[in-house]
Amino acid sequence: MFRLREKLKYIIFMGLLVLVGFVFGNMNDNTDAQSKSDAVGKLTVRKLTVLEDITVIADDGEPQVVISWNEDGGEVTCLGPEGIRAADLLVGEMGGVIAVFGRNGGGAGLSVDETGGAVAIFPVDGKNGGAALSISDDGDGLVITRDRFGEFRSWGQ
Amino acid sequence: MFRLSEKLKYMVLGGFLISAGFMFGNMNSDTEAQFGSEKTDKLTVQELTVLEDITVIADDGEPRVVISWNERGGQVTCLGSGEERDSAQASLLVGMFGGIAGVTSGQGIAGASLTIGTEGGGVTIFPVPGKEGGASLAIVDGDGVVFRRDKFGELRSLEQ
Repeated sequence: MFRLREKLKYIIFMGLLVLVGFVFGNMNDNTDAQSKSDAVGKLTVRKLTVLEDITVIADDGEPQVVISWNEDGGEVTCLGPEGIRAADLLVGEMGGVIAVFGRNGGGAGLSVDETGGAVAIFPVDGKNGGAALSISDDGDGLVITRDRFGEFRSWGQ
Repeated sequence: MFRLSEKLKYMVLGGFLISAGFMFGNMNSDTEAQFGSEKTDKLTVQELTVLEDITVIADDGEPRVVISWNERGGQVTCLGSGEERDSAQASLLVGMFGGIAGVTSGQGIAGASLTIGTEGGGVTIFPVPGKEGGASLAIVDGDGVVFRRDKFGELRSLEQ
């Protein structure tokens, strides 16, 4: 048996040790969170708010989907092999844009210009054909085609 | 002075208490993660499941991209910034008959859309406010049709 004073001293000491452990436990967690980079295997959240961007990365480390924003508005981009843009959903200078791009050129898009909405399809590299729905400066709805020789035809103008 | 064995016993006990404190500290943090709100600079996740929505917010605090869902299905919306592009949007969503992809201008009404109707897909463009013109690709009674609407609001198909 040792004296009561010694006992009390060690009880206080043990209390301090618990406190140190508790603080250390919390400090460790905070360090992970603030540090700038956490890696988690699986995460389920009810609501997620992101201040800059979200990137979905494939097994090879290449980004496949990027969700971000710039001075015009939000942007969602799906990327193909070698980081080539394949599909975009974004807000540009005039308004919303939805566009898809082929590996060998070509594409299609919905967009907005000064007169209203527009739809256009573009050929693969080296070809001339294409088509569009558009609205003229006068306000008429237009159907426009471009043949294989690059000749334009339009209906409504 | 008390005996060495007593000292050692209390040191071991102290070690246990530190471990208990450490675990308690971490358990407390886990509880916050499940029920509260955490802020992290950069997070890498193998698999992310979101039960309600994802919002990407710009420096001005306004949402720029929202990924959400409603009773019909999922929805991805990009929103414009500033007064000029206040109502500008690009959206993917699920409507009554299927998918919809649509864009609108900063003034709201003007835009273009890909939709699904009762007979199949459709493409439509809309004019700016106060104008009548437009055009569309549609399927009517099984036939593919190109429509255009002139500045007076007259609707015509390409075959006419």
